[in-house]
Amino acid sequence: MTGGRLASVALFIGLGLIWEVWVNVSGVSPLLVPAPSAVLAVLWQGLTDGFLWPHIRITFAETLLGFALGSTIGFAFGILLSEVDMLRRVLWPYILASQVVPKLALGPIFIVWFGFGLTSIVIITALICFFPLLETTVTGLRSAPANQRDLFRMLGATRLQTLLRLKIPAGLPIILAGVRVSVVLALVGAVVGEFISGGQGLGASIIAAQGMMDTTLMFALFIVITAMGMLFYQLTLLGERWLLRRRQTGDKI
Amino acid sequence: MTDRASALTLRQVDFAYPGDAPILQGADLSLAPGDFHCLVGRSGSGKTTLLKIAAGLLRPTSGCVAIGDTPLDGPSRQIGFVFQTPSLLEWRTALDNVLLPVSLHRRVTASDRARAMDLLALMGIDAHANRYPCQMSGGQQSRVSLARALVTQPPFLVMDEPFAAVDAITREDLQNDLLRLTHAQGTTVLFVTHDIAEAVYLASHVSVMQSGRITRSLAIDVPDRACGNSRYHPRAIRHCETIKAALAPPIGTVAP
Repeated sequence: MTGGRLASVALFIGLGLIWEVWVNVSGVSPLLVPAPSAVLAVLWQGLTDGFLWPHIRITFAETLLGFALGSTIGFAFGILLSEVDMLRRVLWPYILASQVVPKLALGPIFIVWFGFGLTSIVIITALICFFPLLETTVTGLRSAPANQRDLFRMLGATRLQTLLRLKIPAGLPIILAGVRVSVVLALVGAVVGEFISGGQGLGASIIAAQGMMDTTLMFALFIVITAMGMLFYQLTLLGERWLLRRRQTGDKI
Repeated sequence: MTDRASALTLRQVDFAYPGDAPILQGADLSLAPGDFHCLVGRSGSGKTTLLKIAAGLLRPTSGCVAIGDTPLDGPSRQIGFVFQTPSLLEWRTALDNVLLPVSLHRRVTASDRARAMDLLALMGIDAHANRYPCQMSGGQQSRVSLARALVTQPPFLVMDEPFAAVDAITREDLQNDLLRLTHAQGTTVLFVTHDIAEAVYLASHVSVMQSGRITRSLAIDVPDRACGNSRYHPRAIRHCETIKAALAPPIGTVAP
């Protein structure tokens, strides 16, 4: 473990201790701020007695499905829009509008259309993931140096070859940065989607805990969501490093 | 490779981007088969534009470009292009980069692979065939890009200051590699440089460009041209002085 990571862990433990001491000394109500030890106890219990696992599974599934759907469509539209100038001019205002409108404001209408639960949440999540991938794909596909594009012209490459063998590989570092943003947003989308539409899942559990004034459980759920987000991010990073292993990239992320 | 015996000619070529001042005016150039033609000029004199027109990457505003009697109306696979930077695909090995011109059009055969390896061996970098560009030095990358341009044995090779970014000693090695390979294949070369000594060493003909015009052309008649010692032959030095004189004073603006 590097010095930086070690310091990071030490900071986490230190802040936890300060929090613990402060809660005990100040006598603040556990309904407002629970002690970290109480939160960890609830978390442990939730994990061991199986209460949390169905919620983790459902949020996990919504996040992955929404991410897969949104980023695939974003990538495909990114290619389409950067290859067909006419389409970009026609569709861009609509795409922008679909992003500027607060997506959660669309939640109620999705519930009307698709009912409560998985489908609505996956669609909200997909809508959130879609844009970063679209943007980075459009930018990435334009990032191949002019020389390399001229080279492909000189070699008589077809448009499809230029796309598959030059533009996409050359833009991959940028596109993958979009994937990283999307995967984090996907979790946000799934959790917040559950606020309005879910009966199950970590977001729905937060709302349920709020109803019962169970602040300790809410904090425990925050920890689970954070851990899940970091897991997704790290997995994306691993995939990215593997895909770009041959490249001279600047600093390690 | 039907046109190995044809000449590449540019006649009265003008070029300007719409609404801008002309970049080229009435440029004439003729490359006989086997010629090694160098274009020298200051930055902004239009060398690279002329080169791109000769390669079919740009269309002249007026005038014509032809290979033999066939007008050139776009990029042609008869012309290999070597860019200022090696422009290798960084996600491909050196060998795959060399084979790119083949693999874009058909399945790569064992003989293609052997030929690519031969080219890399001729330049002493066959040991690096399976390395990626980021694992190679600038000089090695330049050699890979040269091999890539030559792997399909195009009758013409067009080069835009390909050795500008490497150190002086590597540059001399690269120049000798280039001469050996193009001589062996009988390639006709159009080579842009701003290095007068490089032009005189490499070229059979040198054209001087100033402000979008070719202002001087001369044949290089140094005995034992392109051998180690020919660089310092008194006649080579005289040619260098002539070209230098032709480059200065700068014309400044294009006469109407």
